[in-house]
Amino acid sequence: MSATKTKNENIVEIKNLKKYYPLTSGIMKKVTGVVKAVDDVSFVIPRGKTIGLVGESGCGKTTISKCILRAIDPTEGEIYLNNDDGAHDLATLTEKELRPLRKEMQMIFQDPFSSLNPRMNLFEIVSEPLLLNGVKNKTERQDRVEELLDKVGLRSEYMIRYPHAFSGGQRQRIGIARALALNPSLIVCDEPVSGLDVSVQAQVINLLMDLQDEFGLSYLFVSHDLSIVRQISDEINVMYLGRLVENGTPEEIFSSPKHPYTEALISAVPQADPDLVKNHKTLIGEIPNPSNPPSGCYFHPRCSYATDECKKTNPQLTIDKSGRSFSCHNAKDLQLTGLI
Amino acid sequence: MVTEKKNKNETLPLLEVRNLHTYFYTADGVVKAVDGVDLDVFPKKTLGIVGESGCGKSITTKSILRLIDRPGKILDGTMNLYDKNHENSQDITKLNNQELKQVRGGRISMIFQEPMTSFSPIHTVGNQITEAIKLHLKYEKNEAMELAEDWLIRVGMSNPKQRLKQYAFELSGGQRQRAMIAMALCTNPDILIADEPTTALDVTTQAQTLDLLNDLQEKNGMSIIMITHDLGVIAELADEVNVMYLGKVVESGTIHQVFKDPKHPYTQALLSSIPSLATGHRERLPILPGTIPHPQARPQGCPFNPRCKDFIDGTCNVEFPKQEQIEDGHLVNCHLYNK
Repeated sequence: MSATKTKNENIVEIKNLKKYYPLTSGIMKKVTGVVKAVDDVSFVIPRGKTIGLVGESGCGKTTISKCILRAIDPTEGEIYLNNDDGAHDLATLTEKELRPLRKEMQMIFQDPFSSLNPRMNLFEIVSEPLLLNGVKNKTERQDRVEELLDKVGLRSEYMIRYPHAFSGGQRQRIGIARALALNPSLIVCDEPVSGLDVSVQAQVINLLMDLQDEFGLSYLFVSHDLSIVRQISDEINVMYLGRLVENGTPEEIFSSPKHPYTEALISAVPQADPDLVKNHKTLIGEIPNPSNPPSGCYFHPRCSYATDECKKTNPQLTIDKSGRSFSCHNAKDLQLTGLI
Repeated sequence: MVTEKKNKNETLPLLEVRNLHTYFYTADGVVKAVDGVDLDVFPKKTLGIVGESGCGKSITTKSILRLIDRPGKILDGTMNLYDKNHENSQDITKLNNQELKQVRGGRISMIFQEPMTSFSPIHTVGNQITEAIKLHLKYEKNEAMELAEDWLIRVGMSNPKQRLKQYAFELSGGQRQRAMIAMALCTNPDILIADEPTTALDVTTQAQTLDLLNDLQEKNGMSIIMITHDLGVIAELADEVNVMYLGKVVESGTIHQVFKDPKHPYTQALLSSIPSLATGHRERLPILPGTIPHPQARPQGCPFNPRCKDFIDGTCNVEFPKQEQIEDGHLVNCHLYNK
């Protein structure tokens, strides 16, 4: 039975994920409130695809990635990782049960300077995951590291060098090689290119796409740079203050956004073309304090289309006839502009 | 007659930097951070400086304010800062400390990339803004506070009175950047140097900050030198662009000349390596091969030659190309265009 069972087409399924942080005060640590960092978020990551996660800082993008990797424990909800043995709910497994699953999910970090141990050389950094997972033979590890470095475009002579000898782009490649070491099926990329120069960004993005094609990797791509998310993602989730406000393919999101927040995000992206009309739909104010969110729709104080209903009730994420999902009371009546 | 004079002044540069050389004498050798840079800042215009990290764009502007510490040294060059009528000028390289104080924060102000580290954590925002006003405009404390509050309103801060009493860590990133802009502009400088002012901000806050700078420039008529590696930001704000590579300006011109018709292979590569509206889904962008060479191991001849797609052996690796004028105002240093 199990031999004929086909793999679930989604590598990760997130259902009603919540992560609340209690706010305490005084020496008795009395709970005085909660910060809803992630509030009832559900989405799936299909096998071999890239899911983009965008939003301003503080919207919960990184919290979701950390929950998936169980770097932090979710408050509520289910996170299923589907592999050959079936589905595993990462949210409820114990550390011991998680251990064999951890090698299937890896992470690439934003800052290539602080994510590499300066006291370890390149060979030690990339081979550490192998060592921890029982590859005791040093020549075997050496061969694997050589192969990995070749994949990410670094020369194997570099193996004895330390991180300080590498540029930002090269360090990010080292981070990618380390993430690939255990043949993962899912890689969470948390702002992988935002610390890099534009020319190096393109190199790393191309590399990520090539590796995906070669190994059938699935990516969760977290970024605030919409043009890169648009280029690499198969599907985009837009988040605001811990909630998902819109989901769609890049074409859908960018040509006809359904949520006013998505529209504002798109119009804020500066385009490297002096002829384009510089007409930002500038958002007023900043992202509200998550411990004291506005009533109704969280976005209404900054939304230029807000109505009375928006102040009272929180719109649910609904799917319309064409299969787009978004949470806005007025979506039917709005003609929002995407990219011109 | 008056208008004629005014027009003439607007086409003459306010700041004229010629042949600027700033070298760093480190234990490992000499780093030629800025190696013969020319730039012109025109009244009420924005000059953008773009380039990858390590190209010398920040050092160029720090040199303009003479903020270069040992082991760095401004070796050569002139930096003429003209007055409003373009009659008198002072060469910043030759100023003594007293005169320099008048220029720094007075005629030329600067805002930085990381607003958290550029504010003092132990003084209130109000104290730091009024410090500049008291020093340069010789205001009394109360007047200075009023002016500071007025400026916080102009940069769009809510509750300005309360903000003046707060510390930098109590403000959000966008508010801090606004406070810094207020601090830089409260002395009515002629030139504002903005060193990556929006890099640490969200796109939405970035858009707000860029709109604010545009607005303030229209109202106050200051010139802006905008340093960034984000070509989108440059396209939004700049009138003129200088493209820098390894301490040299390799191409300069108006924003349209440089972005619409880039001539230098480096500019072309930079522009094609960013995703645009025309980029297809999962399309591979052409990449600029290699990385910026080590500062002590600069290539011979044109510094870009090892990464250049149009490399000409025997020419590009021998001599630095002369400057050629493509059309009025559009200058490029590349052997492809040398006659």
